[in-house]
Amino acid sequence: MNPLLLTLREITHRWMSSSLIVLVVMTITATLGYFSVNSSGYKKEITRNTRDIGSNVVILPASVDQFQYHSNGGISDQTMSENVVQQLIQYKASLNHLIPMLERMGECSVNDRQVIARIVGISASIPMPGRPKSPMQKMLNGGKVQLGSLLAEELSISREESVSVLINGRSFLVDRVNRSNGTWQDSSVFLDLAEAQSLFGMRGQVSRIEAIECTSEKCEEFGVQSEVVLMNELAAITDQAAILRRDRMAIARVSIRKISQDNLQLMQNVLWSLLAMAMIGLSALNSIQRTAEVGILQALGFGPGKILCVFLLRSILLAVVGVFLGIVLGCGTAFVQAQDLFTATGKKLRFDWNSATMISVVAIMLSVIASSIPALIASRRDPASVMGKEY
Amino acid sequence: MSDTNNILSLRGISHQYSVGGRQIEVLSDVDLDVADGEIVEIQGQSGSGKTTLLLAGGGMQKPTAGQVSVGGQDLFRMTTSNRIAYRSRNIGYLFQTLQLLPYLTVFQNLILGPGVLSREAKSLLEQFGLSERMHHKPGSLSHGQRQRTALIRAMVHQPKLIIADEPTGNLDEENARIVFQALRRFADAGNAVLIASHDPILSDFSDRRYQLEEKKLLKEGSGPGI
Repeated sequence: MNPLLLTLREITHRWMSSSLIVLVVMTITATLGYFSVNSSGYKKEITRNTRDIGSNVVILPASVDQFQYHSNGGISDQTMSENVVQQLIQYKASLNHLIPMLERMGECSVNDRQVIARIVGISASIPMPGRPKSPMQKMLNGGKVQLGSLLAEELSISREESVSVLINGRSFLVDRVNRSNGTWQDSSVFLDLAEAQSLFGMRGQVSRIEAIECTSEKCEEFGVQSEVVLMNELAAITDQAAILRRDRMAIARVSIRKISQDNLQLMQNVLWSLLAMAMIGLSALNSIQRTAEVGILQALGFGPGKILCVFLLRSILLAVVGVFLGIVLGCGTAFVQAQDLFTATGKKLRFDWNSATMISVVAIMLSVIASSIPALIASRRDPASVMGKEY
Repeated sequence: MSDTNNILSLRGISHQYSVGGRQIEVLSDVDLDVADGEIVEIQGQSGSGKTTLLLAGGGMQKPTAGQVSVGGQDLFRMTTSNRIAYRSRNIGYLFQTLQLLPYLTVFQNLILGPGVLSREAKSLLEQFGLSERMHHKPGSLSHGQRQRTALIRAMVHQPKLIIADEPTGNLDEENARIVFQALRRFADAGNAVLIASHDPILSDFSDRRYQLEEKKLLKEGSGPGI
């Protein structure tokens, strides 16, 4: 008789124990699938949130007196060539999201109200080649400005109002009043970098470049300081610029990403071990239940290989069903939940077919390998056992 | 009896079991021949070694010492895979506990082994009055019907030898006679049967009877009615 048919009949006959195996494989695979989708969602959400905290590296002109810079509230008159950005890109420095800026204090006025505020020319964030990232800063529209909330209040501009503002005597349409974020940005005005350079007559000049370092995790691993890596890189590129690292932000960013990844990895390892142990136990139970059956199959001419095949076929069939249901259930639930759970990135989460395939293949292989141990023992059982224990 | 007519030949069979670190000998230097056309009956008390002798004779368990030949071939000189194949072609087994697979139908139980012809299975089902139950599962049959199914499975691949261990242990006299008559017909067709049984009816059908006592086979008698 065909071993597949024999196996199918046995599975339906012992439907309780078969269902138990499917249930175990399904539950563990579902949990793995759930964590896989969640892990991918977490990673994206943490990356986005830590990115949104702001840049943790500032590249300033080398001539900036950092004491004065901080005393003045993080602004200086010194500038450097915008080419530094291109040099960083060509060098593939350990930085992401490069945002060149030109900042000056200047006069903003609307009708009869005027204030001196920080005027920030800002470029769209520039990705490093080979490290594609969603933009941290979008390009501002030409001829338009965005106002910090406190500045708008000072100029008596409401959020919905369509109004023009004079900056150093040039008129710009207010594109948007930004929400308050509790920083200097609330009292600043933002415009496109090229327009700011033109406005201040400083073509090709920037006063700082903000960025996010991407060395931290490797540095942690190899026990070197990110700051040292970045300083060395910058020294190799130019002597026009100096680096300022916001330590706390950088460390928090690395730490939170590492902890979440380590936890998920630990959880996955625990689940894989559980699957292997459950399969060994349940398969052993099945082989014990079938002691007499193995004996009769041997008596009827089934060799150890064919008996092993019958047991393994059972494991494969049940594991495939369990894995399929588990992936659909686990990934599906996590995917639906992710839309609400990850408020910043949930809607952009895509189903990760590679992870789902990897989990499925590993779960099936692990189930089969785990159940092959009791199957092997069953296939090599003494056929005499079928005739009873009596002498 | 000449050696050439012997289907089963046991020479110098001894067997020991290890129980709790102690060696218990159940068979000692046992010789037995079963020729074609013969039913040989083994009797003995529980634990006397009957089952061990049958297991050795059927090539299911290698004795500690001795030689087992079926159809002139020494079973334990073969490789395991060759022995399994040889057993499945030449030996049929009939157990007291029947060992029908509960999830297969009567017919599927019969064609489970390799090389079994459906035609032969259907013909035997017809002979044993089980044609109408061929698609039923063993659980829905009476004990007598299940025993007949097991009997058909033992002979459906047309073996030379049937090894039967208490085949009528749980049967009434009528069903026991059906089983023994079938075994008699099987032997009369030029085959051999080695059977362990306490059933008194068996003496009407067997050719020789042995008593297994003190690890040795003692001949009690031969001929119809013994």
